[in-house]
Amino acid sequence: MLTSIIVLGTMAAAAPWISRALGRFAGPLFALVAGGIFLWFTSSFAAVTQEGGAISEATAWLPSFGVDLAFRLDGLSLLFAMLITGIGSLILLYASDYLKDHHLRHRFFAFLIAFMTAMLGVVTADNLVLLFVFWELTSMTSFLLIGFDHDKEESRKSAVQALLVTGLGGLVLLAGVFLLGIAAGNAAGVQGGLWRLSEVLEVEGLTEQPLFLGAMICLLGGAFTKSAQFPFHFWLPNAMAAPTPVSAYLHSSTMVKAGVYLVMRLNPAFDDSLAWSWTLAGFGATTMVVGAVLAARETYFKKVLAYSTVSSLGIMVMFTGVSGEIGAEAAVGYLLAHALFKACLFLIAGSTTHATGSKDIETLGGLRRAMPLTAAAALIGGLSMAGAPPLLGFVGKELLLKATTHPPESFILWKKAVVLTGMVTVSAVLTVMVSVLVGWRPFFAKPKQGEPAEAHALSWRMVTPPVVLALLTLVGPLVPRFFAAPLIEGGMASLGHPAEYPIKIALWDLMFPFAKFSAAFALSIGALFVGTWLYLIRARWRPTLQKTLALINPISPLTNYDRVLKGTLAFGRWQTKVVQSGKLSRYVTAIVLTTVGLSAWALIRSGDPIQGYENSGRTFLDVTLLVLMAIGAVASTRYRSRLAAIASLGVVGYCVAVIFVVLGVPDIAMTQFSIETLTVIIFVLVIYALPRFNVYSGGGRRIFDAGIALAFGATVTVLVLTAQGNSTLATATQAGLTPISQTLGELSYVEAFGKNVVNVILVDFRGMDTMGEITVLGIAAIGIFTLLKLRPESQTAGTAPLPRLTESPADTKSRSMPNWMEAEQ
Amino acid sequence: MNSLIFQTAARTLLPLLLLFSFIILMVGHNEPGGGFVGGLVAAGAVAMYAMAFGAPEARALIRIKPGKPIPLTTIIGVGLAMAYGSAIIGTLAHGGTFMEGWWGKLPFAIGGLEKIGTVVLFDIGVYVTVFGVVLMMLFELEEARR
Repeated sequence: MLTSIIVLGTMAAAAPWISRALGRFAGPLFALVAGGIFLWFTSSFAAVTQEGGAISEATAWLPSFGVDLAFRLDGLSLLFAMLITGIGSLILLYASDYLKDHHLRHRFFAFLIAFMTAMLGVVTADNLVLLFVFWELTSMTSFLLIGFDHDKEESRKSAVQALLVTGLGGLVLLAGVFLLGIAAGNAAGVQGGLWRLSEVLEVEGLTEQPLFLGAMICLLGGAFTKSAQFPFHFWLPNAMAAPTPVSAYLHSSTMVKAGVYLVMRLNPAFDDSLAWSWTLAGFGATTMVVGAVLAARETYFKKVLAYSTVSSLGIMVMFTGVSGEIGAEAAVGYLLAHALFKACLFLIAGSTTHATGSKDIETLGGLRRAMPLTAAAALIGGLSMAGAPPLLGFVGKELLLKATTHPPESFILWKKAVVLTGMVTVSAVLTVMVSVLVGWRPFFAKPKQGEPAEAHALSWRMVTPPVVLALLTLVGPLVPRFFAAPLIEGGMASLGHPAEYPIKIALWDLMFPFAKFSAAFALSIGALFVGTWLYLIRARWRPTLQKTLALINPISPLTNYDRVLKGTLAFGRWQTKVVQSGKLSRYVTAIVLTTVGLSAWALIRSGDPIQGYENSGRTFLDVTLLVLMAIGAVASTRYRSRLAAIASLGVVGYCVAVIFVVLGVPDIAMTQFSIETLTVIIFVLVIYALPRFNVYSGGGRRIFDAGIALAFGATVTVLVLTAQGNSTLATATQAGLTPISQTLGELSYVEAFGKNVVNVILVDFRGMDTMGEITVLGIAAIGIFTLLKLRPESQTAGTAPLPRLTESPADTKSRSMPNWMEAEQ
Repeated sequence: MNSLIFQTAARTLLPLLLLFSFIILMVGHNEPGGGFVGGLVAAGAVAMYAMAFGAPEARALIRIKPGKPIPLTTIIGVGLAMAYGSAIIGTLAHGGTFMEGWWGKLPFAIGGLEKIGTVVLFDIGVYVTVFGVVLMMLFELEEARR
């Protein structure tokens, strides 16, 4: 599994170049590779689907954190992996023709294959952290794919929306993953948490852990945002801004099912908890109905399909929550059926749009002559979605109704069974209506006036994939042991409810037992008729539905999302205005006051800070230097010329350097001398660009500044005296400690082979600090470079100046310098 | 500055100062000095040259081939890469502890130097970075004022 992920990842990275080099052959090549991986998964079919069979492998990655590249292939993973690689291979083939004239098609392949890699990782990962990593990767690649047409505002907006919703969900999931790992560790008595997913799920008493509820809520938060459960469903229809192959792949058959996968994966360990079953059933059922109603409202081909996908995702989540064999059978069976028919219909939506240029189903009609094979596939796909026999969709729906009408005793009372059955029936009826709309209307209905009669023919690369999917839908229930039944059984085993005998999904199995007197079969057939009738009279009720839904728009989740987003942005703007005032003096004040405050607090807490200090006497040289420094410092504030002020500051700096010489620290003295010299040179260069010297600050401000300066000076003085007091040998030995200067001095040559302790500290003992410092220096230099190179071009090129941070009347004279250097008003 | 005396002096002093900065760098481990000071001194030397002949002349000085000056961003990058590279080598050599110094004994002493280690590479990285950063500031400010 790691190998296949590496192969796909490498192919994703190389895809743009391969695509450029091979042109139109690149798409089929990618499809072949994906198909090869599909075959590899198929070959492990027998080993995995047998009782308790699973293939595991693990490679160390970060063993100290419990993170390793662990993969595990069991029934559910295999089902997903085969969907991902199999449908993915068809999509790649389809996309290579669909996007053949798109100017960004090369990078499209890279994104799509990268997504395939990530998704394969999600469903095979056996480490919680690894699962999260892949999960996030699917969000990222989905963002890139939705925003693929990034020159359209709609695409960008939808991409950001999808990223924000699923990204937020990802963060919640991360929290959930950690909580789960810790809870499992506690339950199993393992220090540091348990991170191997398959081990976590086998821990006894997980649901009784105090952390379990938090973990469950967080994990569901991740799963529900990803799988577009109500109230997070709104991002999925908007994600239809992506090219159609992407919608078919990510937003119907694979990525949105990642949440369903997670829920199914966790189910065996979690379904002891009533909260788990009820949450899944509640959210799933709501999503199912909401999605179905919203789908009935739409007329745009892809939007109709998108909302019906939302509805289907709700179904899968709901039936995972219906515990017991029958619920698991329904969830997995519907999952398989849905992936096949929905991908097929999405591809057909793409084909009709590609051929006619129209996205509105109601304007299409009579396309069966122009694209007969596609029309046949659409009919099968539509019928399958409607749940008509003898297709796989029928099997899926039959299993659903069977599960609600025969609820296991432990889960639900008959009243609630009625509610759930009612909800499933409502959504089934609406789904039938939608299915007829997408499967029949564009191809077999009479075209309206003014409809696009012309439709250009499609190449085999766009015709084959939907036809293959339609055929699988057809073959599934006719030859159940071919692929459908074993896959469903394997998935059921992973859900914690292995089938006790080979499941019966063949047509005759389903129809005849129920044909006697079966509520499920009756409802199923009833839904077909009512749904078709609704389709025929849709002109009468759809406007009313649209109006009613428009009424509740102000409180819809999408409106609330917009509100929250706007609020966050407004808060960000306000905060930036307050914190980033753009005035240098404010920044300096903030930095100095914070330093003073924190140091003073620490010093006061330590009791009597200066106690250890011993006065070692003064020499004439000390006094002279101190007097010189004081004069220099005071003078620098009094001069009315910048050059003079800087020169007197230079005096202070050189005096400090001399003090270092006197104290016998030549290293620091040398550095100080060089720094002082260079500082003066740099200042001189800066001065040329500054406006004429002027007194900007009034009396009050000056007193305030003087106060800050004195406070800073006092703090540093106390700090130095304290440090000196603590480091004297006498105090330290009294306290039973070795002074750090002594330790470093002793270790310098022994450990680091250097006789110069200062240098050894810089490059070895505290080398990390130095590394940080030079990195900061490099960044600062690049900052200066950009500030000076990207100055407003107004005086040279006549273009508009860059936005300014401050407005100062004095700066009109000095447009040449960036405004951070300007004096404050 | 169009002073003949200063220009002549700068031209003579530049190589001497650069040599001095190199000595400061290399003796740093055992005597006063090190990469940081060395870089500052070297930058100061070029700064003096820039004052005498102008920043473009000084920029043209930093080169391998005549007429092809090395951009200062490259110099900063190389310096940082040396520092980080030394850290990585040290880490790998010790199998785990980040930035631990690694030392190898030289076959014969070079000017009193008996052992050489990753910290030497690190110090050279500091030297190169500081040199680049200071000159970047100087040159950009100098050119901004034209």
